Amino acid sequence: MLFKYLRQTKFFRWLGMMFRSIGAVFYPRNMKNAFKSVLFSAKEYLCFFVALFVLQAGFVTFSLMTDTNLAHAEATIRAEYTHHAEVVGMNQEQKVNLQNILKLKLDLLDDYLAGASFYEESPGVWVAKITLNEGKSLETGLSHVKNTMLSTISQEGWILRTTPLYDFQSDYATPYTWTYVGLILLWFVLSVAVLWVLYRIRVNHFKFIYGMYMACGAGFSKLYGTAGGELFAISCLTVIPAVLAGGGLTAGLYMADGVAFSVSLRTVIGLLLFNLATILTAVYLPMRRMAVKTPVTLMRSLDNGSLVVSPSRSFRMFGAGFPHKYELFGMWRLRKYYAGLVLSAVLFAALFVSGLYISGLEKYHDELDPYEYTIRYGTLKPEIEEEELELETDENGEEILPPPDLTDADIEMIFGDLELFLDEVMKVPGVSYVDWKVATRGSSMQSHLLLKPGMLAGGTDSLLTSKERSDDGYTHAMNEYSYTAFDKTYIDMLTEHGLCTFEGDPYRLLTEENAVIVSEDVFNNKCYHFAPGDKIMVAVCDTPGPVELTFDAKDLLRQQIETFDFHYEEYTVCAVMRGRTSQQNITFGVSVENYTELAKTLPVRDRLLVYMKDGTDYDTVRAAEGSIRRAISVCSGWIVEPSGHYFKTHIDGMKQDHAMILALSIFILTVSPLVWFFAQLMYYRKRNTEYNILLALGAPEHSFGKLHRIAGGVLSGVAFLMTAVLSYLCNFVVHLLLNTLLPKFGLIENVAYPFEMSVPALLSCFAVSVICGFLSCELPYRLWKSGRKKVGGRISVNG
Amino acid sequence: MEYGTQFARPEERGERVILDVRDLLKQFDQSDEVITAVNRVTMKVYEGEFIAIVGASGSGKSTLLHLLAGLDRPNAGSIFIRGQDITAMNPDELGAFRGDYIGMVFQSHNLIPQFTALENILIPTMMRNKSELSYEENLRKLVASLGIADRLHHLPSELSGGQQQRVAIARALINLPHIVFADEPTGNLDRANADEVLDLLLETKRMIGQTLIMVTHDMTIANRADRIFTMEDGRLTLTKGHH
Repeated sequence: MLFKYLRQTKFFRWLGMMFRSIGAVFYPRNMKNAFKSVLFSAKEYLCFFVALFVLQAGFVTFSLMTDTNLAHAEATIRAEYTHHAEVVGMNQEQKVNLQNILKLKLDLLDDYLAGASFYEESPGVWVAKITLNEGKSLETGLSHVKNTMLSTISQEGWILRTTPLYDFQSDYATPYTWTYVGLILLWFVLSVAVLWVLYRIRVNHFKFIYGMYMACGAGFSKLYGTAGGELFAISCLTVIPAVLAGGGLTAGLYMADGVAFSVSLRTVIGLLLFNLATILTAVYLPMRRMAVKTPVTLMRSLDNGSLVVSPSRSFRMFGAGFPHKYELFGMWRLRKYYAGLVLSAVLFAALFVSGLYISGLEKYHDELDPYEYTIRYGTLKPEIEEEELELETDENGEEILPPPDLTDADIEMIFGDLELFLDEVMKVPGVSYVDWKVATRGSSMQSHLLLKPGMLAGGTDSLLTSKERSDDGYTHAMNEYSYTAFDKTYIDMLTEHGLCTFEGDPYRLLTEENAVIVSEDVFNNKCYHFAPGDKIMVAVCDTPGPVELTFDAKDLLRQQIETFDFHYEEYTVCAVMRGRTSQQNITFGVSVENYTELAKTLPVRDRLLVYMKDGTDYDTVRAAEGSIRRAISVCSGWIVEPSGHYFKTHIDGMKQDHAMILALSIFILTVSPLVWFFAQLMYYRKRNTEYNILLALGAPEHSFGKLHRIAGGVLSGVAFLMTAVLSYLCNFVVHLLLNTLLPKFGLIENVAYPFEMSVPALLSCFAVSVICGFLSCELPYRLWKSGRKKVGGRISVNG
Repeated sequence: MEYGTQFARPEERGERVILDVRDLLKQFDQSDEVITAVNRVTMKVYEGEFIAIVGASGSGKSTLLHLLAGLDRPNAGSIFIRGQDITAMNPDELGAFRGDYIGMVFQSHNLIPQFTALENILIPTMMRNKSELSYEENLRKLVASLGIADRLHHLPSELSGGQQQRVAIARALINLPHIVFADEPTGNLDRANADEVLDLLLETKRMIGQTLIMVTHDMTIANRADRIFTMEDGRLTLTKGHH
């Protein structure tokens, strides 16, 4: 009963129709006709051959690169690590006890344990390397080791850590797979768009024939089956060249690094599914739109009449010139067609520019040095129930453990510790620099800043108008900033390692009263505009007032302004800091004294990040942990934890993602000329009768060359402008997504990458658009002219 | 150019030859045979005459018309219009000649789809680059007599078949051609419209003093001609009227 009801619903009826239609694609007779049609009229389908070749080659490239990346990552990890977990920091007694229990378990052929070895990291400090049975679940295995073996030794002092071999699935296989899925989806959407645009052009040209089919009884299923069959036939013919091209490209990209590429069954099956999905989706809309039209509407469209926008008045053709004004009048009437043509063609060229931007971002990201070690002050056990806490993340997406409860004495002690061990840490082989950040949100200190209109760059909705100091020109208030403590050591670190650029002299902060170093970006998007010498008013709360609980910073600010009493202190910008990855607050960098005053506490430098020099071998990187631990042991309470970033960054750096994106961007660029020439060849073919009429009416034959060149010139000019606009827009949208929106929601890593348009890419784009715009008019003229010669100048106007 | 300035009406001028065809031959090469569409045709047409060329489908009458209008080149023979041998002209000269002296009405009107009725009518004026004053008067009278004054700003797709054919006629006549070739202009029209179109052609012929040569398979129309030629297997014979 329910099934009977469901069958009546629109969705199920549609589903049924789609099943029949997809079946029609693969009906043997349809397939046979499709192959015949495609082979005999190969010239007409040329653009589809090229498009499908490009799209399939792109897919194969993606897939092979993912397979290769995974295989290479696993091979690299296995070359460096044979064990899945390490127990670090054991003393002699613990080592002996653990050694005994592990030996016993191995002798008893424990299901989860495959091996164990020990080494002395430093005198009296031991490390155990534990290898798990990979035939079983590693997670269960590790849990088994913790519960049945590690629980038998005393618990103080040691830490259990997993290695990249253990984390391969979570850190490499799964992210790579998700990236692959994301890229494939994106490529799928692009592929459908490309085929849809091209098929629409084809359908528009052959409306009469489709009208005839429908007049003879063809419905959506038959039309869909025919269209899908044709494209499927073409895809079968292009698949081998595409696989060879994609494979060749992948091999070429990895050859330089000596990495052999690998193929998985996923690639083969994926290509088949991708083909089917793309083709069946791309032809759906054009065929659906056609199927709902009446046959006679389609059969009327022998010429370009359907492209004309109906006018209300005629042009003043009296005394108008041929071919100049004639063609310009015609282009205006067919503006819908030309607008669609230019937009479609130029959009793919603009996507090329965005692709290059993404490639640049990827390359920049690969070249970034992430930190390898965290030096933390605290007595928190690393293995806490983290899922019970909502932890903040830093710029690298790492969760920041909450600081321990510290007394004032603790803070004072920690403040001085850095000076005691920093130099020793810097001397550890392989260490490049140590970074830290001490910041307190201005809103949490019931504070805000007053700014002048010239300091606002747009892009933020966190501003409120303020009347407090409006007479002095301070018209806006905001609280999306953090007080950050700067001292000489910190400024030296930033400048010596090129971690940012300064406009102005940052060292003036150390000598001048109420000097400030500011940044301008929120989530890598420029929201403010500062210059050295600018004055900023800082609101300091004298008496708080009642506020309602709110999680909205702007609402909180509004309430504070209304109910609190503030006094204002003037700060002078001594330097503007640019180039650091930004989060939701700008940096308001002040001296330690000012920070202590504003944040009501000494700066708590309880989390330090240690960066390794690029090119350091893994053994040196691993050995650095012990050296750093020894260096910080002069001060109690500090611990060092490895992040594994160095190793991961090295493996990720072999992925050639930026080269892949560059290659795929070039693929996308090739679609632009396809659209230009396919559409225009079809369009001018339908003007043959018009040209013959004009010849019959006395138009000189040589004037047709001018006619085409006028159109080519106009199209080139419009394409040039559209390229500029669309390239900027696409690039801006991509920049906004990758640098601001997606990191804001924690979907991707936050990397500060400036908005830029690659000049070579833009020039290529312009060249393609302008040249194709012109040649797409010139080529049909050449073809028409040679056609005229073949018919001996005969004028045939019989419709 | 104004009405009849260069040519008086036939009865005033006497019988002056406007079209002189000599030994015209047109052949087409098919894959394994040669088809002779026009087989050594010779004819003379006098100013102001209405000539009908009839014949069965495939007899070669449209091919002959296209040759006479300069739309195609013969394999042999010559065609003189106003004493000028159009078969000896190069394409640009021929195009200019057509624009000045020849009007062409096609069976399927062949209006240019992106232009309105008015713009289609005025397209021939663009080829000759005459000033607008020359044409406004012609246009006004033509559209009035053809009954399309209220449809001038519509696209061809928005006009009926009969209206499209009238626009095509206006386009053929706007330059005041001396000789009008019409290839089955009523072929796609019903009886009433066909008679009306013929009346209009004859009326404008009378007004302007044109010569009208029409290919038709409709004997009702042909019988209104001054002379009727019959085309059969590429050969032309006079079946009504005198040489």
